Amino acid sequence: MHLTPEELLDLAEGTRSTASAPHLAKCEACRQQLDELCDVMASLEVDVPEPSPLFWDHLSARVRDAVAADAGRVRSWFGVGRWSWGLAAVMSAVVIVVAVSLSLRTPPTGLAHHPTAVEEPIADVGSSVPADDPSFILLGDLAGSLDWDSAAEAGITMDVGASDTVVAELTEAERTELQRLLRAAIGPTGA
Amino acid sequence: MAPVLASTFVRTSDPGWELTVVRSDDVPMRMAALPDLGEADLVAACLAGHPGAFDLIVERHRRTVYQLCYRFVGNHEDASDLSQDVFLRAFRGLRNFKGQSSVGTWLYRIGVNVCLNRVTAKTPVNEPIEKRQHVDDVSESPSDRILRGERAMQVRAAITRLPRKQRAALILRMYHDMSHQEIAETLGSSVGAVKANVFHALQNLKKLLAEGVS
Repeated sequence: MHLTPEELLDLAEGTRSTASAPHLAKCEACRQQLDELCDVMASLEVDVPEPSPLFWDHLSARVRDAVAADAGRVRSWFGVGRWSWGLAAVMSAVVIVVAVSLSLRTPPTGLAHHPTAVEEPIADVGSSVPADDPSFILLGDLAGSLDWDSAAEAGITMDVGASDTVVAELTEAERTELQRLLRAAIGPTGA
Repeated sequence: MAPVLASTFVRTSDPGWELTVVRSDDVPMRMAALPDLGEADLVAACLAGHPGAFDLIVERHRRTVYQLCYRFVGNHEDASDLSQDVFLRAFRGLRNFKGQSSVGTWLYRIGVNVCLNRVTAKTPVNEPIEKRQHVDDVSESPSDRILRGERAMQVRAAITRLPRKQRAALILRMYHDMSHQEIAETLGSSVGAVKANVFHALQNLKKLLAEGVS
């Protein structure tokens, strides 16, 4: 029985002595195969060409830049997670509080009292809010230091057409309620 | 009572927050000079955010990583890109380095994976012979040098044409002095499979070199 590839490799690499493979002495084919393996292994003694001496520092600089860019990406992602998302949550809560307080402050008015309310020019909602409203002041303080890029990163900006999409997806009852809330908010200023 | 170490980082620009880190530790933190650190300490220094610690890891291992990548792809440009990729992945995975193997072996493992992924997607491009001749040996005649360079080029080109696993096993065994067991661990296979791959790689190389592949 001929020597296995594993046995031949061990013999070629010298991790096994030829004395431990008596088959070799009587098998010309295995001897030839072993010689060929040894020849190929000898021909592999080829160095990698040495690059320019400047290359090594250049490689280190490239790695440093890549690592810094990568670390920056991770940091900014975590920054969004820890600060901007928290800020977005606070701002969302504040917006809801403001909206609810506005709707409670202005008593709902029926369509009969303002039949042309929807067709009237849209009033400046901000002008209907008292300047000393604490919730609005808080909202202003929070939003004042937030630039547009940070807001976009935090996901609290809206895409173009997003409001249309949301309105289109409302049920009939929800749309009616939205109309009522809008009229309630706009009505007193527009009247 | 344990000493308490405190550091305060103040960011002066908006939003102007302060972050105070208080660390209680029985052993005061003492950092030796970076070049004197062993591998495990160097990794720990990287994880602690010590500037320059990762640079030192790169400096210590860049040559072997580059040579490994070069053996896989057979040209300087790709080897350079791959080397950068290897170190970037190593940086990302530093937290996963448990110190069970040396940093070098760990980098080999990353390097082999990066190279194996790359070589499946890309046909090897070998450099023209004139770009590969950087080493001048004054004891050689010009014609001998050319012949030796030509032969070396053929061998490197032939290696880049081996199937992936055979190539990886052969490179790690022949050029990086790794044992069959270490190669098996690096490639996630058995010692028997590694030996078979090396054996078949040598047989394929014999054929490729006989055909005069370039």
